[in-house]
Parts: sequence; structure tokens; C-alpha cells
Amino acid sequence: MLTLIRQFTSAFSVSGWERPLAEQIRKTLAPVADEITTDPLGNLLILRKGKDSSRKLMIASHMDEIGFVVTAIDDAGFVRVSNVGGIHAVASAFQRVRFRNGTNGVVVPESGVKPADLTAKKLIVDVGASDRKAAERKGIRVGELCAVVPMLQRLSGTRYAAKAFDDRIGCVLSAYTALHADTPACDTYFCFTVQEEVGCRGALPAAFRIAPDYAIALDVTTADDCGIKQPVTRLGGGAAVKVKDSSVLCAPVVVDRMTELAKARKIPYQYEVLTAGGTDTSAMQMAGAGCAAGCISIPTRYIHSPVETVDLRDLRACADLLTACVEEGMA
Amino acid sequence: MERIYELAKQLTALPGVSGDEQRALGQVRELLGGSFDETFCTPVSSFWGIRRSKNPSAGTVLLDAHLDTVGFIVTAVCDGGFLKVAPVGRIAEKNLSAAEVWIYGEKTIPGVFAAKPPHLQESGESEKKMSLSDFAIDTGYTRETLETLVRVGTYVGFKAEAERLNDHIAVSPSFDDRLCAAAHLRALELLGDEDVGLHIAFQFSAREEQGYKGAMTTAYRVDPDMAIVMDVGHAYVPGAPERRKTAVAGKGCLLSYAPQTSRALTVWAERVAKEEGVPVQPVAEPGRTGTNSNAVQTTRGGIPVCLLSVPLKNMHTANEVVDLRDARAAADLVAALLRRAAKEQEGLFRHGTASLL
Repeated sequence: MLTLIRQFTSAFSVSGWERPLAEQIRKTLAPVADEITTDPLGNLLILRKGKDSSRKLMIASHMDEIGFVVTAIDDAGFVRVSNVGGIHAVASAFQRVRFRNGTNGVVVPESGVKPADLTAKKLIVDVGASDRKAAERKGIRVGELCAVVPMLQRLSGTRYAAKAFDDRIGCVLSAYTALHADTPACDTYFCFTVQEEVGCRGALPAAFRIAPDYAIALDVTTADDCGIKQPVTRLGGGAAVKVKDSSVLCAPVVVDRMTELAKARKIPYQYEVLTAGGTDTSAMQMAGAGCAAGCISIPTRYIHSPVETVDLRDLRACADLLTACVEEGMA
Repeated sequence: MERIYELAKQLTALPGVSGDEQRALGQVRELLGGSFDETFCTPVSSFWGIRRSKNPSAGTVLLDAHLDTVGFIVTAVCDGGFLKVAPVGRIAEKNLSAAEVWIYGEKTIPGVFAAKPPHLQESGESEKKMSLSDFAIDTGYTRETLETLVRVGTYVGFKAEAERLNDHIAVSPSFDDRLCAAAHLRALELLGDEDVGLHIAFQFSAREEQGYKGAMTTAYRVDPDMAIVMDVGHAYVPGAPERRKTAVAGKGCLLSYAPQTSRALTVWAERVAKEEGVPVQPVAEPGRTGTNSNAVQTTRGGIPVCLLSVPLKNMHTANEVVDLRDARAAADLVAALLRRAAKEQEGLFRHGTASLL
């Protein structure tokens, strides 16, 4: 699993440009796929046929990450940017960024902005250019994307910090399960979706195409367990079975089924009620005539910062739970 | 009016906080099954039933009211038998003090929102705007017992069964939108065995308070030619802005002119109401209507929608107050529209030639 984590977290995959990661995942899963589809938006849909072909399970994790898009280059060579997805301005300031073509830069606040007033709009990128022409020569143009430079760092024990664990870790879990699970109970689509961070735009048409009976999203959730009395989830507390986030109320049949499977396979789990933030779960629930949708969440600290932190024990629990869902089915 | 109240009383007694509608589906099926030829429950926990015309190639009209209610979801079980909760749907949080609730755990148990008596409040505290994080639900159990009954994610709803304040005024926290379902069902009763030359589908849709998901997905499945959506609207109360005076409780059901409804259908409905002597109040809603009409209108290739509303006071609180005469007007109007649609809106029901879009 660590190999997949290393591979997937190092890819550049800002919303709207997920192709390199999709290519990597496609190669990884080709040996086990019964059918591979890339839809017009760029969603990668990988089918593993199940024992029962009358039912369909859709599993979605999103390939995209938050980043910046160039809006203008000023005469002095500074690159003005706008956020792609929910940028945490404080966490992004003074970070190293890399553009699609490999050009390096640093994200900095405009001069004179006090930390308390810092918003994504007040961030600029310095690529070291002395004027506009120099920046253009480095391949910077309006519309070009950049993201914080990849980083993966083992902290102590089983805990790791990285950029964009949201939602590479979901992609890892999905890919890992696709590779290692026994024959699925029903036809199972492992979907790697685009543009989640800008409003779950990829999962909706993907679910429309598949028309699943059941859907499971894999995404990170807040582990705000540093100093808060009643955290949403705890790092190391096991797989988080989502009940609610601000975009979705999960189907109780899915929540109950996950609980049952976790108990039967002795997988540590916790329930998650998230009052802010949305996931692909919502999009899958409302596509076409709708389906019973739920989500396995990976407890993650410091989401949307370059040091998102997870615990391998939770990843193991999430992978085991997803494997159980795939092998034993949702009904 | 008696019959509508009776139906509303039965429906308001059912559970069904957004996300937890499946808890109500069995009883909904039991209560409403007899009114339809076939009934279905969807993966998103909506209920729908269809009453078929003898003419199999007849068009389909969809009636919509939503099943779900606003409520809460448990985020923590605390010492002393208290529960912390997050809102499900938009709750008027400052009015929660001392509201009674049902907690839908391993078994259904009652609870009350804890309130601080005025005697114990510090000076200035009563003016403070309360939000949900200031409240907790008191269950009377010990934490240990409570933990065996309730978990993070357990749903909580207002105690909801309707009561009458007087002859025609009634109160219940789930009149939004159970009263409108009662009005739709009453309309079907008024039709009796009459075949109006259309298939009539009724959807009791889930997740309205969470982005219309039930209506969107069920309407997709039903695939109707036109729809009548019914929800509650804000009734004028003294002190409200002047423009709200177009919706007064007791003066009839509301009829929405909005970008998210079909103008042609709305004009027609207003004319039918006049001819049938049903009191209606036209209202203008220039933005989103905040109802299932938003979702139904944009399902599949687009569905012409007429939006009726019953004016209601104190929306999304423990005490939603309505005038039952307005619900009766809505039922009368729906029945009249159903009787007349096949003939007067014929163009809508010829497949591919919807003329009123």
C-alpha cells in the first residue's frame, strides 16, 4: 500500500487536469479490470465483474486536488492567481508550488497584508521572473495550473503527512481493494473521479452513466482531535462510517450494512457527522433515479493544508471495510 | 376540512427527519397504499404511487409533496444524559429552548432541549442570540444507559403530531410538508373512482430539506408530462415586510409565479381556481422558490411545474401554525386541475409536443 501512496501522492492532479494520475491508475489496475472506460470529463471507470451481474456497486474516490490557476502576469513578473477549490490561504502562504510543466515558484501574500486579513485572493506566485516576458518564457500563461510541491513524510509510528492525501488516499484504498479483493459480490465499478474539489462535477455524470444500485465514496474527513472535546473523528480511531456531511445524508441501509460488516470482520470503526464540507456521495445519490449512497471516510488532520496527516492503521481499517463491502455486497 | 385534518394528523405523527425517511416508509405504505394501483419506495427513501387511467397511452401528471422534515443528528453523547446535536435542514436555532423531541435510537425515546430559566440567567443573557451549539438535549438517562440507545449519527425530530388551536387553525412542527401531502391525498379522494384520462403519480419525496434529492430522482423515474408541486409558504405576520401581505393565512392557497414554475400552467391554474370558486393568492417569487419545483422542473428534458403553497407561520420551528381552510383550497384546486388537465392541457400529454414548456 505504501508504494501506491508514494506513487499517487507524487502526481500533479489539480482539478481540471487529472490526466497524469488517471494514466497511472489505469496502468496499475489494468491487470484486474474487466472493462476500462474514460468518460468525456476524464473520469476513469474500472469494472470488476461480480458474481451477480444484476446489481451494480459504484465506488468513487476523486483524483483532483486543490490548487491555483493563473489569472494574469503583471509587468514585474509576478503571477496573479485564483483558487481552484477550497484554498486555505494561511496554510498555502510561503509554500513551494510547481506548475504543470515543472516550473517552480513560491506562493506569497501581497506585500503589507496582515496574517489575519490573508485570503486566497491576496496570494501571488513568484516564479523568479524579472518581468512579464521572463515569466512567459517559463511557460506561464493565463489558465495555467499549479499546486503545492508533493511531499510525503513519515512522522512517528504509523502516521504520515503529505500534500493531497485528500483524496489520493481514497484513490489508493480503492485501487488497493480493486487489486486484492476476492471476486466482488456484484458488478463493481472502481471510479476515479475528476473535479470534486470544485463541486463534485465528475461523480455526477459518472453515476449517471453507471446507474448503480449502491454507491460508496472514499474521501478524507476531519480528524480535529487536537484539543477539541468532541472531535468529528479521531486519528487512529478506525474507519469512519459517514452518516452526514453538509452535502449528503447517507442512506441508512448503507450505514447499517457497513456497521454490520465492520462488526463481523472485527474492523475498528467510528461514526462521522460532519457539519461542513461535501463529498462525491451526494452527487452519486442524486444522479438519474438515485441510489443508496454512503461513504467510508479516512480520518485526516489538517485537511487542505500541505501537511495532511493520516494513520496507516485507519487506512488498513478502511481498506478492510471496503473489501468487505465489495466481497459481501451491500444487501 | 375535517378529512384534511384527519389525514394531516396521521401523517404528522410519522417520523422522517431528512436522511431517516426510511423509518417512515412502512407506515406510509400502509396508510397510503390503498389510494394507488401500485406503490414503490426508492433507494433515496422516497415513496411514490401511481393511479392508472384505463387508457394505457394516457399522459402522466405528477403530484409532489415532501416526506422529510427538518430535525437534528446526534454528534456526541455527554455526561448527565445530555446529547449534543447538529441541525438537519435549516433550523430556527434561537427558538429551540424547551422544545420536545423524539430521539430515534435503538428505541425511540423522548427528550427536551435544555433551557436555562430566567431566574438563573445573568444580566443581558436573555438578549443573547442562541445557536445550536449553546443547546443540549436532556434525556433523563445516565450517560452509560444512553450510550446503549443512542450513537453519533442518531436522528432526532420534533414531537410532531398535529393539534388544533381552534376550529380551523392547527399546529404541528411537521406541517412542512405533511399538510401538503394530506392535501394531495384529499384531492385524490375528491376524485373518487373518476378516471380523469391521465395516470396520476404521487411522490412523497425524501431529502427536500437537503437539496431536493428525493424529488429529483423520483421525478426522473416517474418521467411525468407535468407536475404539481405543493409545499408550505411563509404567511404574513404583523411586522413582516409589506410585500409579504400577498400571502395571508386563511385567504386561500398560494400560487407561485416564478422562474422555476411554468407560467402557462400557473396562469391556467389561476383561471381554473376562479372558475371553480377556490380561493387562491398569487405570489411572485423572482428567485429560487426553495421547494421541489426547483428540482422537478430540471429533471430529464424539463417538466412544466405548477407550485401551490399553503401559507404557514413559524416555519422550521416546533410550532408551525396553519389555517386548514387554505389546505382545503389547495386540495380543491388540485382536484379541479386533475379533472381538467387532460382536456385543457392536451398539448402537454402528446409525447414530444409539449407546447407549454
